[in-house]
Amino acid sequence: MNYLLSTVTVIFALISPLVLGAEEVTCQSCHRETLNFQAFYGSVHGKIGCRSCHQKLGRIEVHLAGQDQAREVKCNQCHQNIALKYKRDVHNLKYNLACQDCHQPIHALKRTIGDISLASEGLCRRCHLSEYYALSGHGRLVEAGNPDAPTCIDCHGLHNVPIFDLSSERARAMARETYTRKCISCHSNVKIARRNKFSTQTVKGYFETYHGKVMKAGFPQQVAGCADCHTGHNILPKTSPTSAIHPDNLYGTCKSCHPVMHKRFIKFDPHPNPQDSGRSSSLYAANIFMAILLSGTFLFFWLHSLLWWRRSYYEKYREGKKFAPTTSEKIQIQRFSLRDRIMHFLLVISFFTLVLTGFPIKYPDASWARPLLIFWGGPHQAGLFHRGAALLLCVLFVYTCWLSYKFLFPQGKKEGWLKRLLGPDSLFPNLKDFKDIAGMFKWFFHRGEMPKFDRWTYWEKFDFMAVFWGMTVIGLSGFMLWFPGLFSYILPGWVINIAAIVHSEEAFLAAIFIFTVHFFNNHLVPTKFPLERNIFTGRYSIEAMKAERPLEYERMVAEGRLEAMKKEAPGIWTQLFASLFGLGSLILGLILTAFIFYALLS
Amino acid sequence: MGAQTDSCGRLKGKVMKISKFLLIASFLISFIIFAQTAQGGPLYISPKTLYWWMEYGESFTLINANSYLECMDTQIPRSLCISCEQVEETKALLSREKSTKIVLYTNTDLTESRCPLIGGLMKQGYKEIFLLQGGLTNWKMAGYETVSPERIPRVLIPSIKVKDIEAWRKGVKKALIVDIRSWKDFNEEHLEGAVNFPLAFLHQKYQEIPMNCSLLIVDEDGSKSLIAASYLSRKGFQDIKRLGGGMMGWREFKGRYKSGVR
Repeated sequence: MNYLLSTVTVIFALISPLVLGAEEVTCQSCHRETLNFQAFYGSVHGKIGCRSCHQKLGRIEVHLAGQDQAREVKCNQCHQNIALKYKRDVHNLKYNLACQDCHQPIHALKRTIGDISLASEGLCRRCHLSEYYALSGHGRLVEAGNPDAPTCIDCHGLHNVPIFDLSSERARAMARETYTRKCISCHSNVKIARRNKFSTQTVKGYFETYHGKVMKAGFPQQVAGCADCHTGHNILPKTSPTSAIHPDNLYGTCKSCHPVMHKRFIKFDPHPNPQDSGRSSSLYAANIFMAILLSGTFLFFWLHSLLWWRRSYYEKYREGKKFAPTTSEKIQIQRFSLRDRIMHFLLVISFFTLVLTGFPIKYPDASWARPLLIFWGGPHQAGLFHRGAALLLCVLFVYTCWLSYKFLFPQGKKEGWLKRLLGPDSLFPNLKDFKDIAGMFKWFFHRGEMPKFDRWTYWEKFDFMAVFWGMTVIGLSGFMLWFPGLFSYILPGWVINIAAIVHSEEAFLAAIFIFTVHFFNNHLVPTKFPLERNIFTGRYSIEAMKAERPLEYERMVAEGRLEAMKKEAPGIWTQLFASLFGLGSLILGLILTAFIFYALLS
Repeated sequence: MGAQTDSCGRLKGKVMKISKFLLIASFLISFIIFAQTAQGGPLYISPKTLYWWMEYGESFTLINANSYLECMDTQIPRSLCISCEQVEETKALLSREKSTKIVLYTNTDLTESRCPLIGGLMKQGYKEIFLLQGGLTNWKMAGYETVSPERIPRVLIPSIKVKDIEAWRKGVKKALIVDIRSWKDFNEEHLEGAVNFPLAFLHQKYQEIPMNCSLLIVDEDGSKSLIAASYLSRKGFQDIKRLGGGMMGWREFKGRYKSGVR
């Protein structure tokens, strides 16, 4: 019956123009009931005719006989650029949506008038839940007609909406990075900020935190991006009760990443501004303090080094003064014990590890930051090495404290501890050191002789004492940053902000001080250039001792202890190791200094 | 002379020791390699390799393990449509030659736990089973051709949020939650009052869904409800909604609710 009916229809369709004298068979003849041809003619494709899109349709007789169905239309024949982009769009890759699925009704499409992003927003809303977005700050601004307000396509793109398989950590990280960059592109734009009365400092502040620094270095896996705290679409000011950053909700928001934390933790400022006393007076004060500490220390010691270098250079090249060789004698003086040398070796290893793992996070913008983090296996692994090196340093610090205690109270003997503390064998500063400083400056300006030193010079004592200050400050702040949740049980969250700034600035102070001042005082000064090896070999020449520490020499002679200090010169392997390790450390330190200043200046 | 013999003997001893060590090490390494390869599990194949197999006429059977509706909607050319749940159907559809290469794929990566078909094929004795890395999504990303034998035109059906399920239930005359996940997933956990119509069998069983009900289509992550809803819409169902985020969204909502984040 069906066959008969279709045959009659085909025959009628074919002969009807002849019999009835009507027009030839067109698409309208059959499809007018299902398709509004008036709307089609008025549509954007109205002038190009059916066959322009339905190209694969064969002869009309065959089509009428039902043997040649209209096949899939390839929009990409005309819309090549869009089709090319759409190939990687999530709607194509994951949901197999074709053009006509969104652009409905496909036969009555009108040209978009006005802002394309506003028009597309309506289209997205047909499928996607938009309730949160509509109520968000962004959504309301769009509704109010603000041209700066982001619509769907401003963040997600148009025809190139990226695909992120959120079951994989890598894809989640990529999504986090992509959308954080999107947020930042507008929120760091000064013009947009001025027009919409928000501050670009929010972005700058974010990049001052660990979250922002690691994100900037290109490792978004384990840090919070914008949407982690502000959510993807329900972006509301913190005054709104439904906002994820409302004080009532903030605890839950932070807890989703920091499971162990006290409610005090929410006082942490994720967008700190150390220059703004109104936002946080304690952070402001900490910043000022660190700035004074750093500038004061560097100003004094760099000036000291510069003047010392000029005076030594003058002596060496103008006056032709000969300096005592430190290594050539067969019998030498034991200055550092094996224990001291091992401790210094471990200190060097620990210090370099800390600098190499910490500074890429401090300067994530620097071109060397990312390769260095990749070398460690990413920021997470770098963090593990950083913590390992920090623990080693802590052990050395505790051991040094124990040795200091034993030095002051040998075999528990309390008498005379003050004398020992201020005596010539102590690393604690005494009155003579202040006189030596004044004497050194007189010598720098040719106003007197170079002061005579005993076992420890004032700059060596400063290096030693700085470790006590540095370890306390940098160690304590480091532990706070390591366990921010745990510390929130005893301290409010804003202390973490202070810890971050103190840790970072103190690290800068330590690294640059060691790589410039310590290196100069002990290795690069013309009298010792290029390397003083006795911290690695443990021994130096008697002549060098007489020249560098005449008071100690005289004291040892007077006390009859010099003979006991005499040892054979170190063996070839010890000397080779001392030269290679010492020179290697020196070069690495200077390279790192260049890296740090490059990052600072650029 | 005696000293020379001694040193020769010591050298020999050292060589023997090193040889023994190398022998034991190579034995251990080969054992580990063998143990890893002898597990007999399916291997992954990249879209590029699959493409070259197709280009150079390599003999293999390509199976789209998505549901029938999805398979007909889009597939790699020359695919058989056998969903992950249709383990028994393979007996009739596949060659009895157990050395036949079989390539399986769905929209994303396949795992044995998520697709019983893989285990079923292995039980039947098929030895060369390959899984397409990244599935159809990766294939498309690589720019290779797909075909759509019977595409389901999408109907733009809105979704509702998890928190609004109750409001939706109250707002319609007859609410029916249709869970399109596999029966196994459904049995593990489902929304209260939901009925199970796995997507793999929806084209066969959709008539059992009462036409006069308002439907809420629920899937695992919100990625499959559109095609199911579009299919049902074309079959005459009038009032359809989708659950945004699917069961994953529901679980996340439950978690956030418990931890105090609303």
